[in-house]
Amino acid sequence: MRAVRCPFCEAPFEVSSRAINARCPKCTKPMRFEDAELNGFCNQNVTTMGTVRIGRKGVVRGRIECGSLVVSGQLDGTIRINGCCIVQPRGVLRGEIAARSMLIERGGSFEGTVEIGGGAAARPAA
Amino acid sequence: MAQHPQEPSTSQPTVIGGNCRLVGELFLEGSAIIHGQIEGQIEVTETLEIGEGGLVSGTVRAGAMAVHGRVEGEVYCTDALHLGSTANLTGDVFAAAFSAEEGAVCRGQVVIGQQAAEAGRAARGSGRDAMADAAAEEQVVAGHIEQGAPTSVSTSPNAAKSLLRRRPSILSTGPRSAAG
Ligand SMILES: [Zn+2]
Repeated sequence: MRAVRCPFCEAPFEVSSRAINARCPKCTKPMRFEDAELNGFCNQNVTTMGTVRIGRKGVVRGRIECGSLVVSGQLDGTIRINGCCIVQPRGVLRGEIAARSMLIERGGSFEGTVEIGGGAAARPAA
Repeated sequence: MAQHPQEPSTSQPTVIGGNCRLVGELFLEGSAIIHGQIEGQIEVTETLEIGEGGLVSGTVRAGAMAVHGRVEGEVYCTDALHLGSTANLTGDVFAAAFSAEEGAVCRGQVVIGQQAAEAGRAARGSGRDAMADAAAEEQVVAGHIEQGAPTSVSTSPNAAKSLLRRRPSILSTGPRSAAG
């Protein structure tokens, strides 16, 4: 099971880790839970409540809205994460980040604006 | 057997109590825990902890830093900065590593990495750099963030590409498409 929080009403609930679609048990809004991994050079926008992973060889630019984010390569963009943002030791993250929690490991780097907490990450993008 | 109050060694943190309010500059060799209020500049050569009731407004320079209270201003850490679930930080941050627990509030310009740590060091102009360098090389996970680990993600680039091709619903190509 994976613990999630509805981006619309903030209700916490659990979905199966294999679930692709689900509705919030409180506000009944639909959401998708697919995971994605991006590698190589790409300009990509992603919207999912699942995990987005930027692979070691990923050099990605785009707008990302996701449940959680793991950066092992390079990511430049506007990013809204409903859960945790992790930048791994060789990961490079730049841009505007809104997240519920954040971890930038030693050897990883980040440059940009951060908004953690304060309901910032919970607001779904227009 | 009454004991003489001894001068605290640098291994014992200096504690600034909740009933203390300090305006101006504070320099501490060693570690410190702040439960009170400080307005101005504070520099701590080792670990600085700001307790839940602590409030610091101004410029903060430290080795490692853990915040559970409130900080407004510029923060320079030559080591890791950790924000606990009760932390509230507004301002610019420079640190070698960074973690923020769920519940923490942080707003501002943030620069994390080796260069940021060096900026902190330059701002301090202090000596103990080789240690911080060595520490920054360690690939240690700082802090604890309670979130589920990502599940079942493929690692081969080609597999990932085909995966993405099969799942166009969650992806939309940006204005400039693939360059490589
Ligand atoms: Zn909901």
